[in-house]
Amino acid sequence: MNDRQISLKVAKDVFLIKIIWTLAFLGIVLIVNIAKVGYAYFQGNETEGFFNTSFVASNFFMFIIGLLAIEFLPYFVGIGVTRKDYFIGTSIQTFGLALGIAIITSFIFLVEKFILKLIDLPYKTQNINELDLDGNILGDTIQMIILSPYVDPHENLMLATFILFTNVLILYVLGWMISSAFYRHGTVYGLVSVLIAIIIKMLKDNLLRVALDLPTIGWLKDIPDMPAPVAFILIYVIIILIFYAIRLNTKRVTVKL
Amino acid sequence: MNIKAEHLTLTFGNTYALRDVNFELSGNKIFGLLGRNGAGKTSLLSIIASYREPTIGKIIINGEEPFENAKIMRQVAFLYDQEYENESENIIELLQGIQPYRPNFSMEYAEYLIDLFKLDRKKAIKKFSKGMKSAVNVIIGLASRTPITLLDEVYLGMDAHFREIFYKELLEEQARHPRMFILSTHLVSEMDYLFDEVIILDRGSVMVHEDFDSFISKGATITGDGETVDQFVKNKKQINVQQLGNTKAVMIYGELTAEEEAEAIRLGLEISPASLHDLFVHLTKEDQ
Repeated sequence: MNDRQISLKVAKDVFLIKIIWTLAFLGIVLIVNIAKVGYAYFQGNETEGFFNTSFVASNFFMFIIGLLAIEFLPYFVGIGVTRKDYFIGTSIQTFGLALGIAIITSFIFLVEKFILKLIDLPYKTQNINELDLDGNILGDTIQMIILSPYVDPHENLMLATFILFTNVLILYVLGWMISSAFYRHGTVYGLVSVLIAIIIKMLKDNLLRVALDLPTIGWLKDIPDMPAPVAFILIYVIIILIFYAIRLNTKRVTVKL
Repeated sequence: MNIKAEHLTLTFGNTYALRDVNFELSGNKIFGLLGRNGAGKTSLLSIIASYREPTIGKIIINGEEPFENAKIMRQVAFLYDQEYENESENIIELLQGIQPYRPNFSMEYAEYLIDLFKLDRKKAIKKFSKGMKSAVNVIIGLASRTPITLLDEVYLGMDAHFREIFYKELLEEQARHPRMFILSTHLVSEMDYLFDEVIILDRGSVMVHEDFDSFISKGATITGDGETVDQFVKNKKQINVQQLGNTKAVMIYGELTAEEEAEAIRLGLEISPASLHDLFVHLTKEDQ
């Protein structure tokens, strides 16, 4: 294998492991959602729907498996793969995984929508974008970390899928960035990277809010107004910068025995 | 294959793990890397395997620095005492994952080794005993058939029976597919016959790097009457002294000339060869 083939092989190997985790995770989310639909149907209530449940849960999931991404480094260096090929391969599979989650979620949403229409069960009106910030720093921060700007898939499925993709992508790379900082620099810099990750998440959310024409909130609410494409480009510039930080953390890192 | 260390130094804060290490290893030989705990064996091997960079100096493999060098890294396998605590794959799945990355990997040979070490093909590796996990490391090291194979005390978890099987297999494999092995070990006495060359690290520095036979020939124990022995060895490097009554045994390091050997016989002294274990233990004593 030449260098390019090695990084693609790394991408494929990591992707195949993580897509199994992802399918298991989405399977659990689906089972929970089916139970919620069944409950709502028999109670005569509205249901939240799979897309919403996955939208919130996938962020957590991708962040956690992003944290685990550094665990693959010792394995790959141990079988003769360079840190560069590990980085390129893992980066490629990150996009694949985020795309996989977004597409699978949207596909299940379409099937669910068809079924709910058949059984005449209405969707609940979503208010994820309306955060209840009351000045309590801890509570406000947690809300801003957990919830990301949301697009209703009933209104614009393409955009909703793209926003989901962007959200899970950035959560994964933030997790990877934090674990690589702990691995490379130890606890103090690791904790600093957690703070940086929280700030990046809030900045990304407010840029999305600008792009989606929603009011900005929290610590970074004073960002200037800008056209939606510019906001999206800025979000992807931030993602590239996170990748760059991960590369710096892993480029010459000592592999621990 | 050729490995050259040039002024290799590794520090952790103010502590030296390796201090100005220089050597050159060439050929498809089995090198014994010996040293006490903390002598720097694992640090040296991890630099050769590109697990870390040195603080000062460099390692050159076949004329190139190995760190982040894909061409070199895929030719070097480094196996150490891995715990496999989270390894839920079985041995076959693990080896199938490694195979594409190692150009010379032989699954057929790996299967033979799995049978030799009586490993359960279906059991998750994390459920293996310590000895079985050691066998997994040995299998990866041998079946990868990398031109440079570094085994860092991976055999310590095996019982004596499996260690014997491993030693025999190592020699047979070296005859079939000659390559450079570097074996670090504490088990000097039972492994000495495997080594073509010996490197002894002491407190981060190379104390000895020699062909096995010539190194062994430098050690001898002179036994006889205490005063006669003292007179005979007074100009020699003495690395161990034992006395029982008037009989004294002194281990010396440094070759004896034919005249000296004849003189010892004339004086009624007995000359016995020193083992690698004896030389290693006494040369690396704290007070040496």
